[in-house]
Amino acid sequence: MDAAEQEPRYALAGTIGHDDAQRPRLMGGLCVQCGAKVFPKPKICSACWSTDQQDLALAARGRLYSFSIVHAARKGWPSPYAIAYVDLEDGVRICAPLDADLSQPPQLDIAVELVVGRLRTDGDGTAVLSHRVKPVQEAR
Amino acid sequence: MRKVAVIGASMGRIGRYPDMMFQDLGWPAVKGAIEDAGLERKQIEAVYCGSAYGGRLAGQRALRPLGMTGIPVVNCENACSSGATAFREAYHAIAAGRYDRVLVLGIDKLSMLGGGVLPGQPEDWEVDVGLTMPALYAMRARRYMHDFSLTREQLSQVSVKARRHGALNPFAQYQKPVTLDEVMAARLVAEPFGLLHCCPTGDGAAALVLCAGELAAQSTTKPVWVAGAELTSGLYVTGYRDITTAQITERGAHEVYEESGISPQDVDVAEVHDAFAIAELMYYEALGFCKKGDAFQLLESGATSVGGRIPVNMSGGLLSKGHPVGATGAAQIVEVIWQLRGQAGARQAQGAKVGLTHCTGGGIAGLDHGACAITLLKT
Repeated sequence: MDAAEQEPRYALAGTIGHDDAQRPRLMGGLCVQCGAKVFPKPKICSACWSTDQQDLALAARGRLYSFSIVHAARKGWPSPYAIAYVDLEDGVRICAPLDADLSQPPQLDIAVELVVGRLRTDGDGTAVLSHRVKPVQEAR
Repeated sequence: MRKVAVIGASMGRIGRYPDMMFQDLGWPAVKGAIEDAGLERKQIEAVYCGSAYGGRLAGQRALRPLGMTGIPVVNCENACSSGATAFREAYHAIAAGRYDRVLVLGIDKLSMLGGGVLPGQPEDWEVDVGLTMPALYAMRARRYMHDFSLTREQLSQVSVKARRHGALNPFAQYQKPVTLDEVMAARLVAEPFGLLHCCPTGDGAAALVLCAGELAAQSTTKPVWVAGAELTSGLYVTGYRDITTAQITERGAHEVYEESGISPQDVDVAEVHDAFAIAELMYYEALGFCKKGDAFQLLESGATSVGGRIPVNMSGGLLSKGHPVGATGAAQIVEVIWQLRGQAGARQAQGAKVGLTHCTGGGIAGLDHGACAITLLKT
């Protein structure tokens, strides 16, 4: 097995990190000058033009703002699949594939958490991974 | 700034013409608009051409068969607003005194791309994780339905109205009315949307001739005046955003109403960018035709239907007339010119004196839309 096979292929290079507990985290940028939090990490802050940008592990939880179940997908995408806008707890909105029972779609505004999973398969048969979100299973 | 008049308008029926060359979609509209203006081709000093998918030199390719060469041709790409962007540039060029007579062409041939959803913008991170244009609008729809208690049946009434109007328009891609049941039962595209909540892809071209106000009487006894032509781009927001408000349209509308001295209550007929059913409802609100959350009531009252107080999308709109992306802005203006001249046949809005066209689009992560162009026209 060579290195290329061991390294997962991500849809968005450099956006998946891990915290101390080895849980996956979505990586964005923190502007050192003005504090803006942005996903994905920019080369320059659109607010203050600072190029001093730090890696930032974005909030692992958020609120399901809206979603759609996509039936007419682009070529090469397995359908149906669900795609969502999620408002992370740190004020950043992300677009993310949604893991949900498509026959019983979730309600809006429920809590969701970040996971990493398969997005699609590339032409060469390699799985392409991405951040995803799934409904939080609340403890009772 | 000089006054500017529209003195020529022409378009072909929008549809899917995979066997027709791009240039052959374009030149008949150009020739038609120049003849409608009663001009010779040599009197056109410059051409502004809007196209989103036409590739390089779209304008020159459409003009070559007519021998309209050796003049400035400005090609404009601004996604769904390409044609309206070209119109706005032409308007400003005449108003500023740069030219006296200018042609605007909007043209696209989406059948070149095959069927299905449009290709996404490369390097767009939302596209790379699976966002499509229908899904983007579908998310707006789901949030709107949640926040304002709009049902899928109510949403579907937008499509029924569009097809009812389109059935009266010989230039529409779809000229067959549909029932509510057909809209509800159509195969799913991006929930809550089925096929009939989404505009078709198509091919088409539309052209207009504009001139300096003092020259209008040489061409026509019925000039239509440009009262305002606004173009803006979306604001980049990285945090939370209310996607039930068409913010870019709201801002553009505010600017064009101020520029023209026309208020939403003055508008007699409008063509708005109903690429998806929810869009028409959101734009009623953003353009000031009703208050936030009241869009369905406005639709249901009949106010925006043929014979109503403010008929919207008499052409059938994008949902029925079709949406050859870069041509759409010009096609909307052609429709409103016909409405204001009283030449719109079975779909004529009686006594219309002020018309509005609105197009906005272009998916780009972080912006609600890439561009928005709004035009006000009056007799």
